[in-house]
Amino acid sequence: MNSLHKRYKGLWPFIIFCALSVLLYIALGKNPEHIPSPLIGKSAPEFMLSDLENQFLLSKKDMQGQVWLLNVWASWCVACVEEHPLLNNLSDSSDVQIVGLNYKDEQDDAKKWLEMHGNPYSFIAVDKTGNVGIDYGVYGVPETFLIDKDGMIQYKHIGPLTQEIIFHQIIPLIDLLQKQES
Amino acid sequence: MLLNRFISPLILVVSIVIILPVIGLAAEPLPDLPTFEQQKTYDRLIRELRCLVCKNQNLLDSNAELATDLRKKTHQLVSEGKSYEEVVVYMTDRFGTFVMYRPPLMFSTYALWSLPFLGLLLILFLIITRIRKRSQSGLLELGKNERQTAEDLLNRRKGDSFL
Repeated sequence: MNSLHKRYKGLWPFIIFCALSVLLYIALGKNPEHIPSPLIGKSAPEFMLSDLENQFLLSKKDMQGQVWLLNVWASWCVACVEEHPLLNNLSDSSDVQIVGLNYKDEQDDAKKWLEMHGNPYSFIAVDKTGNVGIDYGVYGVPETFLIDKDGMIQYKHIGPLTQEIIFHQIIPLIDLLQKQES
Repeated sequence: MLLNRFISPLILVVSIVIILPVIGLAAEPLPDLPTFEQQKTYDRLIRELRCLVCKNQNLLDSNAELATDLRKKTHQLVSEGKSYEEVVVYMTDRFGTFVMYRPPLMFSTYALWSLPFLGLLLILFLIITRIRKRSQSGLLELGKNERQTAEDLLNRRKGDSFL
């Protein structure tokens, strides 16, 4: 036993090296931008914001009893252009309500931007100060929240949506949530 | 030489003038908080809260828009009388524990927090076993031949003293 231990003593640095390599390799595959949101499974924060035309006030209660998406976007946001056609498609093909949160933007710029890229939103709430954004833990626009009939956040995506995410995660989850009674 | 005397201060002045606007941009100051305690809490918070969009900067260092907003929010919460802990809870409720530079002790951070202590224990263990080994060997473990040589040497010294 002792001689065996002695014989392999020199192997220890190698074993530690291998273990570290495996650890680092696993970590390499992870996305450091992906920070789990503490808001998932919690009630979506309340807000009271005016719409893009300054015609009415919009609050979370207006969406009570429906499954809805809250999409945080801005005209200055480059990645929003990327996901926007997907949102247009989603609003055409599904009956889910998409609410836009216009984040720290100029209203005129936002309107022009929508004319250019299309408007998938049922409502647009204007968060000029970014205070509602802070309540929703927004730090990387675009961000998308899926909120159920009881106003609970069920899913959150940071960064531009992709076809794959919409088809494999968001749409199945919407179907599931729409079947639930509030 | 004389030229040098004039040129180096000139370069200095020009570089300062170039840099000035950049210095001016760094973080517009927020008004002082009413009490010294509140100011201390605020200063501590903006050092310990992470700017989420800029890699490895706290709110104090960063001039990103989100950092400015979060500084303002922190300032507002502290001025409303919120304590250090209350602001930390406010931030982690929204952004997760990642917003804290000092990760809290919880299930997923046990390894992180215990590793330094485990490392220390391991080093202590290695040092102790090595010292024990060394004290066990030494004179007691001399071989037969070595013992003979040592005795011969000692005897020779005794003999030497006669000379």
